Amino acid sequence: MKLVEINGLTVSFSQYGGDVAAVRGVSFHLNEGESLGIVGESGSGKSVTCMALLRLLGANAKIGAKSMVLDGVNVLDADAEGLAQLRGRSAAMIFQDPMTAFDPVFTIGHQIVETIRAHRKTAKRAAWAEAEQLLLRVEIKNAKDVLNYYPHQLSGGMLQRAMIAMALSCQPKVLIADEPTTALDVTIQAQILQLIKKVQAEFGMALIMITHDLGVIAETVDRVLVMYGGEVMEEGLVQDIFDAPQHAYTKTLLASLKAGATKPDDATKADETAVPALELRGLSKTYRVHQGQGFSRKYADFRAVRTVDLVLPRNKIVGLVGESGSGKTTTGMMALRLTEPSGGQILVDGSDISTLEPIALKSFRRRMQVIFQDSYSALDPMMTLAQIVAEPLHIHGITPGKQQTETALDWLEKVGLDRNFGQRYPHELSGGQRQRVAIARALILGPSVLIADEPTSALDVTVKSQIIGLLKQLQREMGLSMLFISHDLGTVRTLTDTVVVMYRGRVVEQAPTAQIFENPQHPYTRALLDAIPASNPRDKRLRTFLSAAEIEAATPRYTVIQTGMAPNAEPQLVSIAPNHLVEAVVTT
Amino acid sequence: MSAETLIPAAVIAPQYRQRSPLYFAWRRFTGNKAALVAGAVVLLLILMAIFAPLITPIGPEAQAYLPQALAFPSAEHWFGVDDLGRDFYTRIVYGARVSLTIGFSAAAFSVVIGIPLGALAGYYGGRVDWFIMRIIELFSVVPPLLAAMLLATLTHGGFFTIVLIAALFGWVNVCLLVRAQVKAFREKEFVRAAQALGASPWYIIRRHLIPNSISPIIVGFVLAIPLAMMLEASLSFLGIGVPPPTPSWGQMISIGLNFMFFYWHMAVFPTAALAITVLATTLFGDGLRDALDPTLKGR
Amino acid sequence: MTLFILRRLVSIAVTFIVVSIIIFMMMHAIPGGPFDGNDMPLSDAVRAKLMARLGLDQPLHVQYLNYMWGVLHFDFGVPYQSPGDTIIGLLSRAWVPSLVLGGAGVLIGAPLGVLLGMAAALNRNTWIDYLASTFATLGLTIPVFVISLMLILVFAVWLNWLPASGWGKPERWILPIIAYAAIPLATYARYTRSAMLDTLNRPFVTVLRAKGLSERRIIFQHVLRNSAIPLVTVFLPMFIGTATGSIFVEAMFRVPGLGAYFVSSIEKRDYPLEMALMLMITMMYCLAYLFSDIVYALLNPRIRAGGKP
Repeated sequence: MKLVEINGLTVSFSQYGGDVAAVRGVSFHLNEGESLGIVGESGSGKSVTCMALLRLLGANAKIGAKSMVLDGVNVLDADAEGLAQLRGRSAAMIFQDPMTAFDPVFTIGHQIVETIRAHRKTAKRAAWAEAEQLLLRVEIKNAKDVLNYYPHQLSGGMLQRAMIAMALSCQPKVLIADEPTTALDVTIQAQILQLIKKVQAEFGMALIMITHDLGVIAETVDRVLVMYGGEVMEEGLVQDIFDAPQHAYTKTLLASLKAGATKPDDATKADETAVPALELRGLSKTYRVHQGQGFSRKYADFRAVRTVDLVLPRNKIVGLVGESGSGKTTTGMMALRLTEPSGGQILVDGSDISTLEPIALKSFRRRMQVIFQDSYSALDPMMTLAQIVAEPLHIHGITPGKQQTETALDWLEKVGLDRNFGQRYPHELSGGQRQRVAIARALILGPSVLIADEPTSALDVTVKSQIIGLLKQLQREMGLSMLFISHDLGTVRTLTDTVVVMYRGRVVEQAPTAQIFENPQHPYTRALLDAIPASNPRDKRLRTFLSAAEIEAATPRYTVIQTGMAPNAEPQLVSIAPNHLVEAVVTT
Repeated sequence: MSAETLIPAAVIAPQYRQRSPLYFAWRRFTGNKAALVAGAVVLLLILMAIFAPLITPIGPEAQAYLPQALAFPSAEHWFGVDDLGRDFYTRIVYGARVSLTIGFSAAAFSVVIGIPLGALAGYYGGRVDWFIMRIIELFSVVPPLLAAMLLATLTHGGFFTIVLIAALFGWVNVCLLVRAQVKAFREKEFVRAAQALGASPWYIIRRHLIPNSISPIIVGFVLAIPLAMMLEASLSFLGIGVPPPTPSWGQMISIGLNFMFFYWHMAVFPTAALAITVLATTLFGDGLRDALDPTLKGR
Repeated sequence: MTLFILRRLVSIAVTFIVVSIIIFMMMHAIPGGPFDGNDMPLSDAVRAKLMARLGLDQPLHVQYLNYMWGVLHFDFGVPYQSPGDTIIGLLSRAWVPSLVLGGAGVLIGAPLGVLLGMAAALNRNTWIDYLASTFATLGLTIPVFVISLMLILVFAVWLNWLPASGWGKPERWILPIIAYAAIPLATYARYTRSAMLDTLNRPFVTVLRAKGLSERRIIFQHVLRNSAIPLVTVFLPMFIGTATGSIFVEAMFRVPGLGAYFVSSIEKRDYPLEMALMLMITMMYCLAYLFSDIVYALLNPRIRAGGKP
């Protein structure tokens, strides 16, 4: 029996100066218990389609369809009461950002109980007991406590679990997951995806998984709908789509996914003896946090980064990976002295810049540049592209004014944009184009070191591979040394020569890229690699996850003889192979 | 890097013509009928104030109609004649001059004080911000009108004093608006990028932060105008504002109050003039804010 | 939480002291003491004696400390305009009409404003919204004395329904109460509208809809509760704000309240009374802000419940 049947759905949003079509004639169906994936880039209309199915779109949306049936009810004709009946009970939804999905002024328990009682006549006490059971089923161990927590007291991963529990509370027939893991770390993402599959089986629900990530699709669904520009490009069984894509767009998507599997071509051989382009020695960052209780003022030191050593050899790309909060971005920002380090040295071409005054620092800034994650906020919206790209020349007063613009336009061409883009403003560009401008600005001074802080994680997959290609090409041409900060292991694998893994403010492993992917030593590195979604549905598997305590407990142990170091109960970095360091406990 | 060609042309969605944010701001503004009408009224008032001598041939202080003192409105004297034999329409028109001049100059002063302080507080944060915020807190606990009354008595009122008093209480708003905007933008990555290039704080504030604060500055400026006009009218109403015989609406209302029961025109016209001006300026400012404030986008 | 309140307390105490010093200095900078007026020519000897009796011959900082010491004991000194009385005595008789009228105005205006704001937010971009917004803007922009004047002109002069001024009979209270209610009504209508629109745009409202709650429950339980936080915190400062409005309302309606004293204290250069009024209002503002901060902390789980347990 068909649970969802949509026929010729169109959605348009009325804006000033007319309507903008978001969905143009989408049709699909969903059987009971089936898992359907909808994949597409931002703006493809995938989310809008599902929001339209539950009639959750705002008043400025115009919805039209030949028919749109959910659980036997024609959604388009349903009145407010009928919709409330349908939502939560026939179809429940989980959203992208769990941090903003809960009402901040009520406890988790209150919000789950409220959902239960909105749909079923249940006594308050029974509903609370049920809520606790639901939290247990989504593998929240201290469920009783969590019921009384406010949303801000829980982490993103925990909140997403609670969100799933809330969605399950009325035993919906279909669970709609709208990018449920995009805002989460890789390791958490894998756990949440596995949890969704588990509860889907337990509750016998159907699933609609909306995502931009083909890996998520490969892991979770039976059938796929590929959307682009508000239309369905292709539909088919997940294995067929991966093995034999019919549509050109699907092929492009898959190509950008497969790009992650190719090996980097080792063109340049670094001179081991040369002074590294950038070296961090014992760099650390400690934040003071108030722990005020009553009249006594207490401070606690939060060690965001603890004594990181890192070497960025000339003409090489070093990947710095870790989850959010691991201190990888802080490390990058400290290297640029955009965040003041609490201790340690920063050596650029062998000279320490960690204590230089702004004026003395300025000449070093020419040698070291940065590109950021969010290309939108990386460009001043009030300046033209030519002005933006020429700004470094302007700040350093290098060439006369007229020539500055010429050089800037040359650089626009170098990064693959037309010269006549010079007069445009950032909002007129797409995300990928903006990131190209940011790259041009960073490289116009001819720096030797480039720090790239998640430069591709806000981009659509197809654009991502283009930007990576551009970075790779420019790195080779200019002989750049690049520190590539990312949580995206697929990209790191294709791009970098060496990988440094950070975990809770420490470097836990460091090795040549190929070696770390083939032979990870530290339990956290293993967990990180294990969490990468499969690139083909054939490879999907059940995973086991380690808690933080388990990771801590599984820290490798080496003897004094193996390492030649003094025994120490505290974990420290030990060398286990050429260029391969891992954090371990050295025992006698 | 022609990577865009990786996507076959067939599947690229039709490109919409990109419009500038100012275009959308303009569309939002023109979509707001109240603000549009208010803007027109403000423009009219400004023109009226500038060309006052062309509109009415008699000076505002000329007691040319003493025999007809307190005459009701007629074809000859649209708004009647006041108690001292002056054409009341003339006085209202010239009153617009006083009101608008005080409003605009006080707003200009507010902006001049508010922008640098707001930018400093927003950019540096920490101690600088703490200090400026404490000053602002001082202003929040002192009732502005009472303090203005005190200052006005202390200095015996006068045109320029009123402008200064109004600016003294007007800058706080501009400062807070600029501070909020600068604070939001100083974390933006283009500011970090400029820092990474070695740009000085002054360069960043001047070239990036203030241009990006132009919307709140305009809004702060426009909304400071009615506040200053209201302050002037209130002080003049109490007899400690612009001294007679300079025509001021607040002063006229205060005098009109005594004649209210018999010569209604003495109270009604200045009241209406003040109400319309203040209301129009505020609605215009509100409309500008809604149009320029990107956080309201899509609502 | 305790620390938060303590810090606010210190900060507000400092603010108050600074303001009191500024007011004190300003007051003494006024050219022409109370006995310089032409209507009361005094010989130098008498003047010196009077100055000594009132403590005006001592150094400024001593005068200030003496004064503040008195303030702590609710002794604001003697008003120059009626030397037989004390300021506290004078004000204790005057503040009753102000409180009754102002309080009634706020208590009527604020709830009406909330309702108006809600109606506007829930019917965004309809005529209800436009009407409510225009109404709110009118109330906030038009000076109180203009509103009062309009009320008198319409209801007392033209329609002759209600008496224009005075105090005593309850029907005389109606117009001043309406005048007092205008600002709270407008303030609340505006605040409520924008706070509710803010909340309605937050993602969790979509989640609430997606889980099948009725629109009623979403609005009244979730949206209102989230919007209430800013609304509760502006209440007290706004209430104190009506004290300033009293100058005009009471002047227009000839109510024998605090407002009359504000005006006469300034006209007659009555330093002690002027200072007392300014200080009291400043102090009330300080307390109002402090209290609002506490209420804000109590209502906001982020502060009340602390961080991650």
